[in-house]
Amino acid sequence: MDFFFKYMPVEECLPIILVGFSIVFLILLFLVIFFALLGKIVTAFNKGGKDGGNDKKKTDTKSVASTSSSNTSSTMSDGISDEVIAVIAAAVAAMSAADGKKYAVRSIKRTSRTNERPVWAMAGLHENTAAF
Amino acid sequence: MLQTFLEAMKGLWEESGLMAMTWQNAAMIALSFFFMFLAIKKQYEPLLLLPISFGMFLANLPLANLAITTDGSGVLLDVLYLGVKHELFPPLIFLGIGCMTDFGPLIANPKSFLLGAAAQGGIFLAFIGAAMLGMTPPECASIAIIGGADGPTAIYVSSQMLANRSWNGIPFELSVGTIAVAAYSYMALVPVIQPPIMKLLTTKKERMVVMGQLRTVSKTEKIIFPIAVTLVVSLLIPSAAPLVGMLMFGNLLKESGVCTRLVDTASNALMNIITIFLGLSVGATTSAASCFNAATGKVVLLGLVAFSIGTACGVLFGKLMYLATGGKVNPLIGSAGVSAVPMAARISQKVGAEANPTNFLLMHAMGPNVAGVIGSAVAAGILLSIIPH
Repeated sequence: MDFFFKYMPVEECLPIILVGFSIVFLILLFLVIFFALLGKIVTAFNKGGKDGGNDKKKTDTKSVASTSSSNTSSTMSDGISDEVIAVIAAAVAAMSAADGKKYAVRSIKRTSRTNERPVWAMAGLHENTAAF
Repeated sequence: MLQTFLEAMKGLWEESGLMAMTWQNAAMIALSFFFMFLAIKKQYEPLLLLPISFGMFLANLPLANLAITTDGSGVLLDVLYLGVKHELFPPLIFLGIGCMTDFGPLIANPKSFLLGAAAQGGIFLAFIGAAMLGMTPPECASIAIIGGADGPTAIYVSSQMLANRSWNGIPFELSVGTIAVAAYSYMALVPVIQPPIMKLLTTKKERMVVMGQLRTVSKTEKIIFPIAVTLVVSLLIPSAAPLVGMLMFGNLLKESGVCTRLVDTASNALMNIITIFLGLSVGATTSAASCFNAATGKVVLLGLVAFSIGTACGVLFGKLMYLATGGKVNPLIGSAGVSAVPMAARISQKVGAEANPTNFLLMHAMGPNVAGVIGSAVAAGILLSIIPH
């Protein structure tokens, strides 16, 4: 059994393992502390901003809800179902959460197609032909 | 005229690959067919295993001279291999990975970093296993990095460790291709290897733990994250900078939201091009001489040991966190600390759902999973710094 630890004796291996594993842990522990603190700072900062805007947000939420409900009769007459309205409102809410701005849905109307190309195809065409 | 024709045919036959075929070539070609079968039929990491297996096939065709040469004087695959030799391809793969990775779950729960760190235990314990089996230090490091469950990292480390083909006059028995094939094969076997270990080391009560919803992560944090990680890791372990830097650069491109075209290129066209070049050229390092030896058996055995120990270390640290938090952390997410993204996280979800069908661990497991990518890159940097090569 001469090949056991033939080129690296145990005394050389163990320090490498201990040092290596410890350094990985220490570096990632440092990152844990850093990002935990950063999270707390950002959350506290956003909370301070949100408290002032909470009433406005509630008003906006109510206005979205009231807009949706008050418009229901008119949008329903356009053949737009409640599910579609809910999906559009959810997408707007997600967009609002992503960029921190407040949006309110005022009206949902079906557009008239001016050409035969579907809307998604138009979106792809626009994306690929947009200027640099 | 007939005589001339027959002589020409005889000359062609004697110079053909068929006449020069050895049993080792035939065996390696058969092995490459097996890996192609695994990639195509079983869909084991096909994006890399298929190019690697085809590179293996080309390299073992007699007299085709497509195998990677010692002096870089070959054509085609030798030229492509320059991207591996000069540490270009693996960091560019990491660029694409960074563009496709969402570090949100990790930022929301930074403690996941520790699970990613714990799972790297497989790397260091496999290192001692390789040393025990009589491998040289660079070979030990090349085998150990398989435990990180990260293909580009394994190729990055082994290509540097094995670049000189010998250590203190002792020729290496391994090739980069052997390491790469082992790494990707074991990554594909994560759904088979991990669940028994996870169930063995946890109780049903622990597996049923439902974790609370993660907080929302702001765009500011997502932008600061890649910059801070690059700064911290690169200042402490400079040799990890190419991998971590490119990973975080890709992520910053994505999170900034202002470089959509670059993100699209990096995560699609560039990634695909590099994958083809990397896979094909790495596969071409697997010549018969470099594979038919005892070292390949050690790689297969130690690769499995490294993966298993990494999973076990992650789960055990998860149990420690379960105890430390009074039962708020499900230990199953610890196994996702091996950086096989997103497969390991899906396995945590699957095993957790078996114990409690209403439990959704996927996003919680993504934190340790992406932390494992960073952890394995840090471990790779440490090995490159400490181990003489």
